[in-house]
Amino acid sequence: MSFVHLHVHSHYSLMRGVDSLESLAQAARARGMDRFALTDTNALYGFVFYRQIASEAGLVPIAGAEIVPRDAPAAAPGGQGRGVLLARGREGYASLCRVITARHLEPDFSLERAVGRRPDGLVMLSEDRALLDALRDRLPVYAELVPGRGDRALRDWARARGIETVATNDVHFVAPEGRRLHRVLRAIDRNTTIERVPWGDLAEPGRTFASAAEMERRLAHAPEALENAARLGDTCAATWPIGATVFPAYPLERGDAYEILRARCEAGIVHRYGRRPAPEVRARLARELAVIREKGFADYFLIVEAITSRTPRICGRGSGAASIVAYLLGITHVDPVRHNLFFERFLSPERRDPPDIDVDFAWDERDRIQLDVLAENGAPVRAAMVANHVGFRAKGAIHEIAKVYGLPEAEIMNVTRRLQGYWGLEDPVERLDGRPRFRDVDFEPPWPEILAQAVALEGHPRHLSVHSGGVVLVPDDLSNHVPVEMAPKGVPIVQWEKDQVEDYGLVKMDLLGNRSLAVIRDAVSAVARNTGRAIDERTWNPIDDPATRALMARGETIGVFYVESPSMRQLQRKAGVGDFDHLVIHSSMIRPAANRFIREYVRRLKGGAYDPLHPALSHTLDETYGIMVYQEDVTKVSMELAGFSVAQGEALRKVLTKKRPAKPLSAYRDEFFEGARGRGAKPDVIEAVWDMILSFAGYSFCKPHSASYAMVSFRSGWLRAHYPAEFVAAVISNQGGYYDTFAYVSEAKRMGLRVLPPDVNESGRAYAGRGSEVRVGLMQLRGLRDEALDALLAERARGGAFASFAELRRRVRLRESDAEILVKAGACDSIAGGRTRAEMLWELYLDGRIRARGARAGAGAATGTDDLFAPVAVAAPSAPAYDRGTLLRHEVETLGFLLSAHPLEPHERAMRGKGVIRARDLDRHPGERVRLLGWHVSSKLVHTKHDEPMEFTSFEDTTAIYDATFFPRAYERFCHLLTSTRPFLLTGRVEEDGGVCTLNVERVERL
Amino acid sequence: MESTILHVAIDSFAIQAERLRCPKLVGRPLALAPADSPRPRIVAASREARAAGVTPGTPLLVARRLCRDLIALPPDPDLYFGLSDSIRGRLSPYAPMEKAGPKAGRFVLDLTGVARTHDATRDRAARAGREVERRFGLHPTLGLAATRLVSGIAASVLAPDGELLEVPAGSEAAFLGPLAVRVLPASRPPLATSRLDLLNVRLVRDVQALTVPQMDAAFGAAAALALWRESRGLDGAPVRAAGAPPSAIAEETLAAETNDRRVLVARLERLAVEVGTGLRARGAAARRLAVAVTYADGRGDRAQKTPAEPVRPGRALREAAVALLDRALTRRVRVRRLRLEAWEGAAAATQQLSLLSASTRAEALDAALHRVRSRFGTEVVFPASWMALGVVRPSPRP
Repeated sequence: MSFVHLHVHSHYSLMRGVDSLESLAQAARARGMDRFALTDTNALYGFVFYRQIASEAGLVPIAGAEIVPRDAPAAAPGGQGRGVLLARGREGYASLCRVITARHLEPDFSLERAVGRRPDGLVMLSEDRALLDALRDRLPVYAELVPGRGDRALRDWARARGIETVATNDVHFVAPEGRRLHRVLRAIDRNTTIERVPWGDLAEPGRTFASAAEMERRLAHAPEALENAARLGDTCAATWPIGATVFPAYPLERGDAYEILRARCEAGIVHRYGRRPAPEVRARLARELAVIREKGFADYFLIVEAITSRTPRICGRGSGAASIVAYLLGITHVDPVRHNLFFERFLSPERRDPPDIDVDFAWDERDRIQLDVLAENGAPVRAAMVANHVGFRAKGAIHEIAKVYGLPEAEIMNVTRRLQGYWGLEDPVERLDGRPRFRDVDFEPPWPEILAQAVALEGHPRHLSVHSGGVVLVPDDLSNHVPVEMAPKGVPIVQWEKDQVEDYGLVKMDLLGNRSLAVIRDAVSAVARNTGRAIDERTWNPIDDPATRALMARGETIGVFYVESPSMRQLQRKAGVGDFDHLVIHSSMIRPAANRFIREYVRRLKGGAYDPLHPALSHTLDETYGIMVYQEDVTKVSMELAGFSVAQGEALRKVLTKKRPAKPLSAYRDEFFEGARGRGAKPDVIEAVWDMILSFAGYSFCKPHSASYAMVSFRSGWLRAHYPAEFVAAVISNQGGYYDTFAYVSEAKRMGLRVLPPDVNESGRAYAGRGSEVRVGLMQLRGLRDEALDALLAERARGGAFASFAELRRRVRLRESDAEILVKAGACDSIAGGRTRAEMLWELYLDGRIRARGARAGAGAATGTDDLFAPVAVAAPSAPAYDRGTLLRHEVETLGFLLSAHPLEPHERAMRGKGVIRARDLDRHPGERVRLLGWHVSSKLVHTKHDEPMEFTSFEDTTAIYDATFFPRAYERFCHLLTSTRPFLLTGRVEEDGGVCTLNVERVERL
Repeated sequence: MESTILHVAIDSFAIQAERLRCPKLVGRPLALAPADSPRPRIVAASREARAAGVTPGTPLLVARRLCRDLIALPPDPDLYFGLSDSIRGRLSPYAPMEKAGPKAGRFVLDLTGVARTHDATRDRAARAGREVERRFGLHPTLGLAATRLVSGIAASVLAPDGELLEVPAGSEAAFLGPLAVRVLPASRPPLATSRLDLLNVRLVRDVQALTVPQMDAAFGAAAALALWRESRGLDGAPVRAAGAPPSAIAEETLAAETNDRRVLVARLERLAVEVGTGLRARGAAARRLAVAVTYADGRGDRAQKTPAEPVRPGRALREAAVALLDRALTRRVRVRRLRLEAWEGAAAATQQLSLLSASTRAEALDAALHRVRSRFGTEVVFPASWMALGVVRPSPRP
């Protein structure tokens, strides 16, 4: 038997371990080992990945963890109170999960107590003599001999006590060079510099993935410890199966789950389709119910229904939106029969993975709903949130490392703010140095070292956070499957992120937040308040409204859910259609790898002739003009062209988006080509179809998902078309979407709305719209405390409007800083009584002085001292009104943007008569070279197929928003200018495509 | 008797000093930046360089892009200190002077009572300026007023190369009235800056129109009093009263910015040797010490202490300085500049100690080192760690 490493830390020993699971597996193979135990600190964060990687590398996995008690010395590898637990079999694994959960959830955790409580299937290695003594009768324990760390003395002690020994190397890095990164991680974690990390906090230089021969040499005096390591490695193999779905259970006392589900669907039919539904509705329901019964999913549907029935404002999405059962239960709002949604994408007898229903709630209601769901389903024992493994990304890694190297913030920011889009940093100095954006950056030492460390850190897990929506429910106890810990925000989370959760077989449902649902809620309630028109969100279906369709077709959709990005608005305008079904197509078509099909799609949409890719695909792709648009098209096409089964097709679809596929894409390619050839398809057709399949790499949507989203788009579009003021106010109040507040305010002005400044008597917390006016909400005032805002609104509601500035201060206890902000922003102008803002502030300060003196005089009187500080009234001086420049500067300081003017106005005057055109006239100059003023609105960096960066940018002037393209040459010349918010003069050629004009930028000047 | 204070201001002192040494630099864009730093930043820039956008703090590489014909030189503190001392030596016959000016290139002379008539005083001031011009080829601006504050402002508001601006006693308020309020030091703390803006107080004359109780309400009692006085040209404190400048200063801009404490300690020890050499030569000790650090981003920290007993030069001074360094360093950003200041006091009477006591031996060693260094220079003998940490470089063998 050969030596086995039983104490190995991967980078899942957060902020301490250095190497990835892949590196460790490679190291084991390179050293001729067939297994090693993964023993991360208090965690099984990477357990499922470890199983998968071990299997791919032909290694035998061993489950374990190093348990470090809370009160253990902060760092010090080895030492007091620590023990490595290894799991024997499935039972040992469950015990391990329980101990780790206890370590995270019990404030008075003790390893001795936690292990002693239920040690089934566990083995413990430790250097702590007291711990070994205390637990030797409860489970197999071994004195852990780590070479060079007092191993001889420990061996002597163990032999004297009759305790067996085991050799480990407490591996922290594969090779000695890894210690540098280990030190950087410790410095980041301790918020200090690399020079100041205490030596005791670092793993010794020898803690590498040593070969068996090396371990034998270093522990030649303890051959039995080496043998025990090999023996334990054999007995602790974690080869039990994972992947079987663990379904949550609907409470049994409520009856048979399937029968309840069926009855609710019957009731839903009447509600959704009336008393005489079409036969295909009945048939579809019967088909779905049969699959659900067969696969035992009834509990799952009922649990989701219980969650969604809390509010009418939901958007059931994902593949679940294809289900008529979900539609009848009110989980989704799109009729799958009318819109031809593919049920098998969601559930099929052949699919092995659990169903996936995602539900959106209004973003500000989501947290409360999640907490309710957790509480009602027995958290943290039976329910918890899914974790996010938050890793270092290029920007964060560079920032943190540069800080521990002691570089000043400004210098660090000078690099990191230019990193937009550079997430993959290979060979970084050369890569960044050559990038146009970094033209002004000096990469002198220590930058090369910092960037090299950043590359090594990229992707390293850093800490856990709560997944935005994933909830895991189990029928028994989560600790039988995965350790649970508490996230900083007080929510229980499992230690795995969504991929491991799914691969293990746990059922996850996503309860997500969606700002547009809150926009719709707020706008609908404003409409009801302003006009008395009530809208029932459970039945509201505006997809046939002509005004909304026309708005969608014009692409006037800033603020409209999912249709507001420049690329979506352009596509809407090019297509010139605004109906629901086309919107569903468009929202699926806009994805990174599918841009090249858009022009062809528009051509075909406008009547251009085309031949189907293959006659067998006509049926599937007819509704999308012969172009693959939806995720499920991959499944359907592979079934129809290459004879794949549903499961094979689904697997191909998944492999395109999955980070760690079980089978590589190339294997599917071979199967696809072979299958298609077997069915007589020509090679060029197969290539063309495969090329389209590849356009689904990254992210893509299934049709049910897009249809659900399109319904939300139509609802928000309807509000924009009919109640623009209420709509814009709700958009900004919910913190917008794709654009910043200034862009929405500009859009409101272009829509003909008047945007009024904040006012203590007229403004609410949020923005408010009515008729043709939008009033800025007090929430916009930077620095105004929430307490002050609450107090002001409560007092106004109680006692009515404020008649004067003095009355405001008398009725509401405002701090001077709050009152300053209100005055500075102009929110008190309506109660100024003819005084200037400066005069109001004089009144504020003088009044504050009298109060302060009064308080001191009162205190003096109480102590019997003389009244030296009795308040004396001091007259306020007169002060002139601010000049225009000061007013505008104060506006920016208090609101964050210019409200009463456009920042381009002075430049517009200066440019008059100098051949500068207005953005609204862009369409009149196709093919011409023009000059335009531009205020940067948004931008999106992309790479050409030659990996050259280019940027799609939106600018606005005072008349319209317009899109501009920086092709690689222009991007290289001018991108470094675009990092600041300032006015620009752009020169370029107007390109017309599908009736939409954009600017192909040739020159940028800063104004 | 009314005071008469002369402020002699030399714009861009270090730049002018460099031009003095090398007249070819006159009229060309010039900047100073440490030569052997891996990431040098501009510490001073000439008017021509500033016109091209090069300002102190700009990385040298960026500065070169902004100004293609920029001439960048490493700062030479010895040149500037030496020039300062020479100027001070030339000016001292004209009137009593502050030992160190408010900042480099500024000299304050108290002309009170040095001449019988006003005209003679003014003439003396002009002659002092001409002396600097004639002897050094520098072009100072001169401010003459009854207070240090007003004379300083007068010297500042003149265009460089301007001559003498006199503010006659009693006309300070009228002189200051039309100036922007930010010329007053009391307007510069953040609260005062923000509230002066909010209250639309833009000019000194706007401040003059306010009463102390009004300003008390807006800015607090201390600032109100300071603003009231300064707006009328009254000094917050008389010349050379409390807060005398340090009598010994040693500072260094690090060639390579670092946050390695060992390097900073070694560098500071070297500064302590310099300060200590001066003190010891005068038989003095430090009654007060201050350590100031400037970080790579230009921000600074400072720690100071007035110990119960004056600190003697030598090991005690080094240890006290290092203790202050540890207090001063509050951030993990690299340090660009170190400064040690000492205020001189009489050394405590030497205690009678055993000949064999360790402290006596240390004293004897310090005294011996002092003798050697006084004769041959600071770096003739030094701890090995200075070389290991790059504080001094091994000199080539002859």
